[in-house]
Amino acid sequence: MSKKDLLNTAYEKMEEVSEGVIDKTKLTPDTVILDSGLDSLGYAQVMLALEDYTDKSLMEDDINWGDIRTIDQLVSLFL
Amino acid sequence: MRVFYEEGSSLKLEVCNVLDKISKKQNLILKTSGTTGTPKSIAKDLEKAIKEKRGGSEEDVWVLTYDPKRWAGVSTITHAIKFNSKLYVPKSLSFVDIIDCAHKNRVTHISTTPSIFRNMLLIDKDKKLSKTPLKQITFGGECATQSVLNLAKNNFPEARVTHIYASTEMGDICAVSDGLEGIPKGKLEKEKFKINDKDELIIEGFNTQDMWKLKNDRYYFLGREQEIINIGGIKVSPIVVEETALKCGVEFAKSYSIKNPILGNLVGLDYVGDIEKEVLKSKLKDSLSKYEMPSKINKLDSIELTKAGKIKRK
Repeated sequence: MSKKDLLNTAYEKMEEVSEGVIDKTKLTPDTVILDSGLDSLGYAQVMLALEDYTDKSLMEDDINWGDIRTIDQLVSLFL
Repeated sequence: MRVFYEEGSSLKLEVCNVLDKISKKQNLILKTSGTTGTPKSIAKDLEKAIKEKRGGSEEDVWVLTYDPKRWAGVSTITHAIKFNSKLYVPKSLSFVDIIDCAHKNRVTHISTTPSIFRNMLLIDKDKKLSKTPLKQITFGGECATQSVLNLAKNNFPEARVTHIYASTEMGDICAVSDGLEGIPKGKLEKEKFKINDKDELIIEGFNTQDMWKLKNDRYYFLGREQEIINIGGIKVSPIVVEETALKCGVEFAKSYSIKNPILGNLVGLDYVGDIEKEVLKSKLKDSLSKYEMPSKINKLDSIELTKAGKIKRK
């Protein structure tokens, strides 16, 4: 799977879980996730969607979640 | 003693063992399920268990739906013994064998878990179970929510539907037959019961680790402490999620925790039924809060139960 696929998965899920508050066409890789209008529950659901899409679990303790701010940084964890 | 075995019953040896202990007035060693900690062995005084049984007659015809090595199975056997009722032991504890045994022997009394009951109705395509003249349906082992009480009443309008709260350690604690979910406040207000500040039920100093909530003069079961799904500090009862799914038209449901690095956990839901995933999702949204709303929904052909006939939550 390509980074583009992952970005599109993230965009679509963000629009879905925000129930239309977020317009996926306005999202870019540099969008700061928690500034986009997504709350922490929505963020967790986007992550779950990416985990399902890639079949990879991100429960590793060595990830510093404070450093993961943008959509690009989030999807890069799955590559 | 009026115990009858279906031909080739794999349960005969264990049932005979219980009957042997009763006739010799010996204690029976039972294993707890381990839901409140490490499984442990407990000696049950069967004479005392028989003495404590209430309500029954020689006319009653029971079918065994529980493992005779567990308290629930022993409880059914001792009940039948006390009142000299007939007890039929199926070939095995598969849903099909229980239904066949109940139908063939025109069983009038059944004690089972809500999960076994739902599954039996699900696979009972020939409506054999529905044609069984049940007069008494007793639910135990797990929470009997309003939807399963209604399901029992709708399928068996002549039957009295009871749900009991019991444990291997404490035996039968209380029984409710008013057709409503939960336990009336008065039944748990006696001196030996106490709900602590974590909503856990304490019986004579023993912490059951079962969480209950008082609402409109009834106590409602929320689940065991370790089964509650903690989503970033917000506690969600899987039973509430499952019950909502059942009200939305699914036939069987299991809600569980999905580990998540952001919030600790999210809610997952597996279900059996004809309703499509997207339709269910949309219906659930109308009734559940956003934290209770399952982040993942799976439509399955069946959902595995434990040996005790309960939803597998671990």
